[in-house]
Amino acid sequence: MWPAYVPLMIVLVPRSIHGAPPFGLSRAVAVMVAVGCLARPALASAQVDYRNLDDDRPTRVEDAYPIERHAFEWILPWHFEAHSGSGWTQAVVPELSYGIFSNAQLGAKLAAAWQDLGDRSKHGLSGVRVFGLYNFNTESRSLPALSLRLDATLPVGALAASRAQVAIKGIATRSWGRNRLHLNAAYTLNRVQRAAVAEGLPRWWAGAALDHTLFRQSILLVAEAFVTKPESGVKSELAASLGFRYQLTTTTVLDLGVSQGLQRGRGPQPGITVGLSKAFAIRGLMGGGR
Amino acid sequence: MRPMLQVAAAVAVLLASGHLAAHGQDRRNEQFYYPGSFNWAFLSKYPEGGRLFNAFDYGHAVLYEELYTRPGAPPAELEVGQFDYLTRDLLIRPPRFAVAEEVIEPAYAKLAWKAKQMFDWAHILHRQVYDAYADERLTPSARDSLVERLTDYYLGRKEYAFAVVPKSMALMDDQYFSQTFRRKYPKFNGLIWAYHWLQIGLYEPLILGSTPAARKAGVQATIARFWSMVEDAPKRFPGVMPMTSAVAPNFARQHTRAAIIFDNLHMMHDIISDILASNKVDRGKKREVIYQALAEFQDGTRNVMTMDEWWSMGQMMGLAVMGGEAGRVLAPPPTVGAVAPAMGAMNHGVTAADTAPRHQHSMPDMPMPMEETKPVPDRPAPDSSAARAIDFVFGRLLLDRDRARAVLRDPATRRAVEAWIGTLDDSRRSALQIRLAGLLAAGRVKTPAVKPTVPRQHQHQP
Repeated sequence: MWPAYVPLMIVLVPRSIHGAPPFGLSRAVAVMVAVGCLARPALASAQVDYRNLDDDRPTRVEDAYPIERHAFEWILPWHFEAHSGSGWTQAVVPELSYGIFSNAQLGAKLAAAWQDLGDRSKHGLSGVRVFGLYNFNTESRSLPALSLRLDATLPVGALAASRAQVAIKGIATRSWGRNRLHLNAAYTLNRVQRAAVAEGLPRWWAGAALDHTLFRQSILLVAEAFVTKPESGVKSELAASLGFRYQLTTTTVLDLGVSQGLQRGRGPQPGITVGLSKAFAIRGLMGGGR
Repeated sequence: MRPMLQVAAAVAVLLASGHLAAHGQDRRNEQFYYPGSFNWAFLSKYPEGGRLFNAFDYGHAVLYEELYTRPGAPPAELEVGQFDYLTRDLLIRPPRFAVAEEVIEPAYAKLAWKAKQMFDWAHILHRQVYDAYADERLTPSARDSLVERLTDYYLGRKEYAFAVVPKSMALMDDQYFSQTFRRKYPKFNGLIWAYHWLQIGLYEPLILGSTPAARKAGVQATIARFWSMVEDAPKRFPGVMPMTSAVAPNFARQHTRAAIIFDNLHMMHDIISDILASNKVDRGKKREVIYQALAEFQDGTRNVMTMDEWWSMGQMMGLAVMGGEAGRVLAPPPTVGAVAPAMGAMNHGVTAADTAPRHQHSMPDMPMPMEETKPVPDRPAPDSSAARAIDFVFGRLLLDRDRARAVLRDPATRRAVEAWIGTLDDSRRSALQIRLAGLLAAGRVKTPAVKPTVPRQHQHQP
């Protein structure tokens, strides 16, 4: 079961200034949260999940390794980003991933956002994203770990993009000592007239992250820099993030990160994200055993 | 339609490029372990044991990394530097969770990912069997059934499972690179064997204890005995690799397949240490030789010992030399573990970590562990190094069928061996007499247990 601090995460999502619960709290999000909290995961997971650097948890850059075969990972994050000038955006993006084959994972995210534009606010679903990640190799003496990821967003909700989008991402991870370097580059194949408020796919982006493992404390420290082109005709943004992942229990990881646009008026000013992830497996989906 | 075609084409091109780039590389191939609410019960109920196991992972990992990346380093770096760090720091304040071994052994993990995966997979079985034993909600039959199910699940991954028949000791001791590590790094090797003793030995108090309190006391007593080995290092370290059939006979009887897997795992641990430490294996060939050894240990059809031989390992080698049977009270002295640490700097009886060993003050007050078990006198260790050496040499000799038959042709040697057997305690004496009779019987052994894979360039070396 989820520990007691999970409901606290939901409470932490601020109330609307008008007193209404954020984004109504969208029923879909509530359902996903409830499922995540109430599901009785047949406990499992490695105790080193803190080193599995997922996208946005807490950095945009991720590592090249998928979750283990048969593993499920349930993530419940909250994200806040101040706009340049006035206003802000908050988002809760529950995510479920599954190690469907060796070296391959599938996942789905449901984004719910709440945006304050100074004079008005809006809230609602900001799209559904499905994705698949395939890892070609583990790191060797001659080659970094290499992976390919495919993302598709669906225009679900009032704050979603105007149409479906598809993006391709290449990922590489190289380690030395207790440090790892991750390189990500992604390109969205089609354009939209209106971008999603949260969890949208930019035209392209590229970033590098460096992490360091504190093995006795089960903590991963991570720093990244990335450049992103939100849409055609819009200037690219350069930003940086810092964060950590901490193994709270044998199956639960806490992550926390802050980000900041490095150019005036562009990118997060600043952004903060916090999340919990839990790994589990479902016996009925696993082979072997009697 | 056009965008879909673009996507499909781009994905196809990238997948093909990725596969091409990664051709010949190891795949990650990680798999989740068998789920169930029993998971983590051991760490939760016996953190003094579970956390020690976490620290053990570091010891194995740093050993391989050092041997591979710093082949010319002075032995003191492992024998003193790493040994002291392990025994005076990490084992005293072991990590809460498993150590990410890839962080400690990045170069080794890149060299031999499959070996790391095979070890990880077997370690998961190890840990889950402990969890099954630690879950007080399980009845004995449910627990035993679960352990067999876990073993089935383990064996279901054929690519990473060790053979479930005991492999010949000659694979560990009689290859051209064999015993390099233990000769060059005797103290660290002893520590690894002490790790292995505890890793298999802690099953015994969990089986023998009839109440939760007895099990807890038994676990603490067994851990205290491990600490007594460390404190008096290297004198009390096992002198040969502890075998599950000898050190944890009750566990081995209940779950023979798992016990054999753990012995094969531990043998493979030693073999890789030897391959990495030996300069007879060219640096460029280390991966290949390790992978050959892995394949050998996944093959249950050749270079195996009989089950009778496996069961008699303790008798052959000397149980005391393996560290003694775990989970039993030792009487009379040396009652290892009941002694306060001899090394002043090793104050691991007093530490900030809740789960660090507390035997320094707890042992004298501790109730007799496993009160339902009669104190079984362990065979006292030989009282001199010469006696211990004779014990070791003759024990080893009788294990190696071909060598034993050759040597026993000499009547004087045979008489010496018979005389030595006559000095042993009853159970060991009778086992070895049977063994000796078997060896002397004509036609008893016709083929070598193992043909060492000696590379051509080393065949003529002395």
